[in-house]
Amino acid sequence: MNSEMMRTQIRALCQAPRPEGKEAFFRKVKAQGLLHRRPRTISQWEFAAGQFLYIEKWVWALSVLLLLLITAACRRSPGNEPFALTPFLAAGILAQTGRSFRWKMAEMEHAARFSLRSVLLARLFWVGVVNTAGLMLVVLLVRPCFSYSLIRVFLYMMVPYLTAAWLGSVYERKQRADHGWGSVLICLLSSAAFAAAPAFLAGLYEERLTVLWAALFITMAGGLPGSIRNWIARMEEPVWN
Amino acid sequence: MNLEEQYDRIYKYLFFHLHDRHAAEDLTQEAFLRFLGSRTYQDENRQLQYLYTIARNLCHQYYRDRTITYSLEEADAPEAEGFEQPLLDQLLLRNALQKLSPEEKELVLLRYVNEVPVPVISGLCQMSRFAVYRKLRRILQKVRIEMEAEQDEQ
Amino acid sequence: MELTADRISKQYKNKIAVDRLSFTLTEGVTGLLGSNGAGKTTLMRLLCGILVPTSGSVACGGMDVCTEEYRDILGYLPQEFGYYPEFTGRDFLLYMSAVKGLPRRDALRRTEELIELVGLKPVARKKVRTYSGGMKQRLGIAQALLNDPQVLIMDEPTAGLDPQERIRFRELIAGLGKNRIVLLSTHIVSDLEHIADQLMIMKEGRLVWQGKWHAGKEDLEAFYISKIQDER
Repeated sequence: MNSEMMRTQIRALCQAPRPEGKEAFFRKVKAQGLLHRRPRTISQWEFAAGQFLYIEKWVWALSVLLLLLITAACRRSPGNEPFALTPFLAAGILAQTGRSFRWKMAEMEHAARFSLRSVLLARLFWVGVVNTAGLMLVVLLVRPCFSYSLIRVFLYMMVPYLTAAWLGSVYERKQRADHGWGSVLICLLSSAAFAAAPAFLAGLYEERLTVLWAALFITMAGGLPGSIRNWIARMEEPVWN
Repeated sequence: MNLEEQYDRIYKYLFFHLHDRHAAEDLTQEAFLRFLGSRTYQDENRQLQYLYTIARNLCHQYYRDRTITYSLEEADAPEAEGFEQPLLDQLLLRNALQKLSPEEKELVLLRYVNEVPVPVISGLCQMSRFAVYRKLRRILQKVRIEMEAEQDEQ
Repeated sequence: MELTADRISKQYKNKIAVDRLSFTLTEGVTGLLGSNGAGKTTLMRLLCGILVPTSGSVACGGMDVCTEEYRDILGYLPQEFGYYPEFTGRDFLLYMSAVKGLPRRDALRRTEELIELVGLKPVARKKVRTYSGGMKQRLGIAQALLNDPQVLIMDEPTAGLDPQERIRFRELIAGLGKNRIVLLSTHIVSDLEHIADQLMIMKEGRLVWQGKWHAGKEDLEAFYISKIQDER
């Protein structure tokens, strides 16, 4: 017997008797006008789209400013220093995580239909998407200034950015109540680390180490969703007191 | 969503869990009243998932209220009613289905009997779509092996 | 509809905030009395699905309190709440409508209705940070009512309200309690005197008394104090 036949057989086998009260029930429900009175709710996507408008202006301002700064720095001196600026882009994202707690909106959001986790995910999504897309655009724009291939410029830009985002998300998961200063510190430290790294690892930006960068990129890009998921899962049991 | 069609399905779902026509019909109506009284989702699948969630909760409550330990073991056992003299194949199939675990029976009931879309099952049972597909494939395989084994015995 | 708590406990590292409570809330107004630190807020958070109990369960009409469906019929006013700094009163309500899943048109309509109901019409388009304590509290009450909740849980709702606002609030709650589950916590006994149908008295994480309350039969204040002291 093949699967299709088996499915048909199962369906044929499991027959329930006819529900007797169905017509009467629907007549009653219709008479009471219950059928079409249901209020609607917005879909997950409409909700997420709506949250875009509630992201603070300074987050966008910071992103634009940083992206311009990185572009300018790359044009002026196409060395490896401008790459160390990208961790600051993560600050805007990380600021979203503590926002509800900072302004004491978390409890109310938590008890509402879409809940705190949807609020946070929607905001993280928007800032993350806009920042990443912006950075990609910058990579394309500044690529002619460098002697590196496009893929290498992309990796050098993305890895510091993702490192800060990833470390920050791990940190935020552990420490929620510190008003986001820890995340800013992490961005600073990541930036400093990447700026200072060539001094210790002389060949860091050489072509033969591209594999290392790619590996780092994959680790970070792969680890980030997991880290955020863990963090969101713990949202169910926030430390209120 | 065609409510009248879903009424039959929910009724069927509850019937195989409760084995009692009247209880099944009562709970079906209760589930629909609750469903109609609540805010809807725009997404059809979410609506369906919600409807099944209510039905399943009512089912749990029904068992709890009667202080019977709820067990899906009882589910999906097509008994005498509406069940005509089976062919050998059907008998084998039926025996094989009985041997499934409660979770597997629930999946068979949802997917093959009630034809609930996989995304809805995935939400309802809180597993990924991929896991639902994999489990369903395994169940069919298990049933097939069981049927063959039985056939050999006879 | 019934809201049922089944042997719920909440334990923090070295303290049991809520100790094996079981009760059922039905339609009508229930007052939760207790001194500060008796575990009222923890209990309310457990009932809203914000905190997960260490043991036991809370369910309403077959839905667990951590489900989206339950949150859809829930209105909650936390004891302490804030607002995003750029919000006006109206923005605040529209924002909460969105998080509660109301479509834009319903959100606008409910927001206007509730602004009217809690008497914030003249200041609706002013920034929340310019509001007085009572105005902010009324905004919080309005927020809880946006989705027309079947279960309304309010933690110290009268805090910060002036005497006149208190009277209005009492009238509002008495009306709402007719066909909903309403739970109010307070440590001010007189707030509940005429509106509570049921009472729960909490002390050190346990319920020391629960039952029907008939207004006028006895002095609530004296009754409360006697119950709290009995326990000693």
